[in-house]
Amino acid sequence: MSQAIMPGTLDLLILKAVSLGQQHGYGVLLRIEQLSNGAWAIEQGALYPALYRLETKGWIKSEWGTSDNNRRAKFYELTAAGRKQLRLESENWRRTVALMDLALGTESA
Amino acid sequence: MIPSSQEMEEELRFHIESRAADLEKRGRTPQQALREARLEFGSVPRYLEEGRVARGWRWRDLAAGSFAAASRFFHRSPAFACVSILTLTLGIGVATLIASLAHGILLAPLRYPDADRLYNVRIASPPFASIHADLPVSANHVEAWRQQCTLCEAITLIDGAVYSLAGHSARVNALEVTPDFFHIVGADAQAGRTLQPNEYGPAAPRLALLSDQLWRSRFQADPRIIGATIHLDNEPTKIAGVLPPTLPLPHGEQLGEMMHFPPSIDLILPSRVDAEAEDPTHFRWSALVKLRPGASVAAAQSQMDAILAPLARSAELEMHPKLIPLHSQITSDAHLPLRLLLAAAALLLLVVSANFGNLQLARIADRRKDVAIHSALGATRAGLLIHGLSEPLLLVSIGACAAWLSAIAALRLLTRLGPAFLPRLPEVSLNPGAWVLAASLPAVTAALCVLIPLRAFSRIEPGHSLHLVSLPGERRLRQSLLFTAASASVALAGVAAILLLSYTRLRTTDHGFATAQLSTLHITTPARVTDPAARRQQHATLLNKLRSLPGVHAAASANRLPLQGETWVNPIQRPAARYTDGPLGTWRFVSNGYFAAAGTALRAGRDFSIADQGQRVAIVSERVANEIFPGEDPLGRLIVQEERGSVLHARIVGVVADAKARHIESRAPLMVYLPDWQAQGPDAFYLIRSFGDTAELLARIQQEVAANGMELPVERIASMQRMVDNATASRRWQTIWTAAFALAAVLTACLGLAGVVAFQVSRRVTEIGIRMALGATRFHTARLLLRDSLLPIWPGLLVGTAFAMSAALVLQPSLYSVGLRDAWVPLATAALVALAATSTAATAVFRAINIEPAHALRAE
Repeated sequence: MSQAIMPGTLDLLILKAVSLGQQHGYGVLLRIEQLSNGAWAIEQGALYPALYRLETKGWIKSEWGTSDNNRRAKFYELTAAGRKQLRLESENWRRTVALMDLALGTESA
Repeated sequence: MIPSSQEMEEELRFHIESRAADLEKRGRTPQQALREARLEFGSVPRYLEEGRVARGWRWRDLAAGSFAAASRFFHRSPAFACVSILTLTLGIGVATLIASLAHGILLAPLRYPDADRLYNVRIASPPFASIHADLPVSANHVEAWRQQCTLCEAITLIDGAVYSLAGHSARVNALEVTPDFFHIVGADAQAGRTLQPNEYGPAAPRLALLSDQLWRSRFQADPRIIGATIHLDNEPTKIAGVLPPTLPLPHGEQLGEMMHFPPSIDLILPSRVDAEAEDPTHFRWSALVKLRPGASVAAAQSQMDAILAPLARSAELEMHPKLIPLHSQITSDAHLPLRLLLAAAALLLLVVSANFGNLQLARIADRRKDVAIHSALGATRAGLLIHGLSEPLLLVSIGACAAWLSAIAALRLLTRLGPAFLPRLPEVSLNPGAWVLAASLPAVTAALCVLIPLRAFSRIEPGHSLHLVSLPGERRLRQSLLFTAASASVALAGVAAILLLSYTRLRTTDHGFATAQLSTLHITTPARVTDPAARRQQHATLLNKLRSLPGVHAAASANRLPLQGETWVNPIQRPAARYTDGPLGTWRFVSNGYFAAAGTALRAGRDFSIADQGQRVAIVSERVANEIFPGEDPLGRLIVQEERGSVLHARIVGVVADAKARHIESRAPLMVYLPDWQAQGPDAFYLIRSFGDTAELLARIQQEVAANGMELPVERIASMQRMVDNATASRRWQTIWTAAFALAAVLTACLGLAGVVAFQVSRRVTEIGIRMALGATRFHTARLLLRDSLLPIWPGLLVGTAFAMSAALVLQPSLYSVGLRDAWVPLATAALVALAATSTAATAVFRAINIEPAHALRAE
C-alpha cells in the first residue's frame, strides 16, 4: 500500500534523487519510487512545478538530451548550490526527526 | 535553462508516454496504458499552469501565446483582423498626430530663451478700431522705447524685404532688424558674427547674415564666405555671419495683421531706417520686446504708453502700445482649428475603441465553451485572463506601431506642405505620451470587454457555465459600446456637415469679384524711375500692350487687388461735414476696365473713361451708396477726398458691387475707387482675364514686361483662384480633415455594427431555425433580429445629434454664414447615419438568415 508523502518533503526528495546522477523528470519519479521501495505515491504531474521551482532557485540545472529510447528529453542535475542545500536540508530533516522522536518518546523503544 | 511553455508541454508529454510504455511492458494494451498513465499524471493544464507559476510569469509566454492566438485569428478570419488593425491604425494614428500638433504648437514653449518674457508690440488706435483691432508700430516708436523704456531688456524692429542676389536666379527674402534681435531670439551665428549695437540706421555699413539653407545651397557651406562681399540689388554687402540652422523665424501674418512675412528667410540685414526721423503714424514695422525679469506686462505697457504719449500728441492721433505675449500671438489662429481637430480625433478614436471592444467581446463570448472547459480542467483565472487578453493586446500593438509610422509620415508631409494656419510646424515632433494614451484607449476598452465577462464567468460553477448562452454582463456591455460608437460617429458627422456647409457657402458666395481665368501680376517699375508721371506712363504703356496680346480678354491694373488688404484707409463723407467725421473706408486706385476685368458688377452709372482725365471722379461701392447717401441717388454727388493734406471733392460717376478687400470671411468694407492717373507708386497689380493656354500667355506677358524695362519674377504671378484658395485654406483644411475623420468614424461604426449583428445572428441560429420551422417568415425573423441589434443605436443617434448641435452653437461665431436656420443639418446627417446603420444591419441580417430551417437546427 503506497502512502502520500508529507507536505514539504517533495523538494528534498527531488534533490536527493537528482544528486544520484543526471535524470529526466520521469527518471526522477522512478528514482523516488525506488528510494521509497514504492511506498510513496505522489501525483506524478506535481513533480514538474517542483522541478521548475528548484531550477528557478538555482539548485538544479537542466539541459535537453536524448533518452534511452532515443527521444528528446530534458535532463536535470544538481548544481553546487543544490548540493549545499541538500546537505543543509538533510541535516535539518535529521534534526527534526531526532527532535520529533525525542518529543514522542520513541527513541528508547 | 528555464523552460518555455512549449518545452514544458513537450516534457510532460515525454513523461506520460514513457510511463505508458512502461505500463505496456507490464502487459497493458496500448490504450489502457495511455489512459492509466494520464490518470496517474493528473491534470496536464493544471500542472502546466502551476509550472508556469513556479518558474515565474514571463513575457515570452505572453508573446508566444499571443502570437499563436493571433496567427490562429488571422488564419480563421483574415478580413476581420485586417479591418481591426486598419481601424486601430487610423484611430491611434490620427489621435497621435493631432495631439502632437496641439501639444507642439499650442502648449510647448517657444524655442527662444526666456520665451515667457517676449512680447509682440502692436498699436491700438481708437480711430482705426472699426477696421483694425491693432496696427503695426512705427520705427519712430521703437526708437523712443529703446532709449527710454527701463522695463524693457531689449527691443527690436522687424521688417520684411525682397532683394535680387547677383548670380542667383530667384529673389531672396530678407528680414531687416535692429541688433537687439539676436539677443531676443537667443541666436548666435554658427559662423562669423551677429550685428554690433551700432550697426544699424541710415549710415550703417551694408552687412548680411546668411540663412543656413542659403549658405549651403548657394555657397556650398564654404566658411571662407565670412567677410566676402555679395551684391543685393546691385549694392555690395559684406557677409558678417551665418545663422544657425534651426532658428524659428516669423512667417505669414504671425506677428499680426498688415505684417506679411515670406515662408522662408534667406538673409538677415541690419535695418537702415532712420527711426528718429520716421513718421510716428507710419504703421509698418513689427516690434518684439523682451521685458526685464520680474517686470509686469501692465507696468511695461503703461511705461511704454507714457513714452509714446508725446509722439501721439504731436501726430494728433490717439494710440497706445499693446503687448501681446509672443506665444499667443503666433499661435492665436491655430487654437480653434487644432482644438476642433483634437475633438474630432478623440471622437474617431472613441468609435474605433468601442468597435474594437465589441469585436473582442464577441470573440470571448464565442469562445465561452472553450473557456468553461479550460477552467474546468484547472486553468487558473490569471491564465484565462492572459489568454483572453493576448489577442486584443497584440492587435493593439500592431495597430499602434503602424499608427506611429503613419503619423511620422503624415507629420513629414504636413511639414513640407506647411499649411499657413499651423505655425511652428518644424518644431513639432510626435509625442510618445500622446501615442501611449491614444493606444491605451482601445487597449483598455478591449481589456474591459474581456475582463468583466471573464471575471463573472469564473465565479460560476463549470458545470453550469458550459450551458450559458451568453456571458454575464455581455449584453449590457455590448449595448453601451454600440451606443458609444453611434453617438460619437453621429456627433462627428454632424459637426463635419456643419463645417462643410460653412465652407461651401464661403466658396460659392459672390465676394464681389470673379476668379475664373483670372491671373494677377505684381509689377514694379525700376528703382531709378522716381517721377510719378514716368511711372504712370510706363504702367499705362504696359497695360495697353497686354490688352493687345492674343488670348487676353480683359486687362486692368490697381494699386491693390481684392483680399490684399488696405493701402489707403481714410474717412468717407459728404463735403458738408467736418473732415474725419465720416466712417473709415478703403480707398483704391484702379485703371479703367478694372471692374470688367475683376468681375465686380457695375450697379449704376459707368466705369472711368479716358475722357475723365483731368477731372476728379470716383466710383463707390454699394455700401457707400447706402450708408453715406441713404435713400438718394449717389450719382453726380460729391465726396471728400484727401490728397497730401488738402481736402478736395470728387464726383461720383458709378456704383459697383461690394467686394472683399482683406478678409474673405468678414463683411466687405466701405470702398471708394479713384482713377489710377491720380496717383501712381512704383507697384501695380495687374488683372488679366484670358482664355486658352495660360502658361504660354504668361511667357508672352513676361517678355512684354521685360521689353518695357520692368521685371516680373515668377513668384509675383498668381491666379485669383489661388488667392481665394489661400484665403480659405485654414477652413478648407479643418473641413477636409474633420469630414475625413467623420467618414472614417461612420464607416468604422457601420463595419462594427455589421460584425456585431452577424455575430448575434450566428449565435441565435437555432432559435431562428425553430422560429422558421414553426412558420415565421423570413421578414418577421429579420425584423425581430434587427430590432434587437438596432435598439441601442437610437439613443446614440439622439445623444450624438444633441452633441453636434451644441458644438455647432459653440462654433457658430467662428463659422462663415451658418446660423440657427441650419439646425436641420445635424438632424439630416443623423438621419443619413441611421439609414446607413439600418441598411448595414439589414444586409447582415438577411445574409445570415438566408438558411434552411433544417440546416439551422443542425448547427448546434
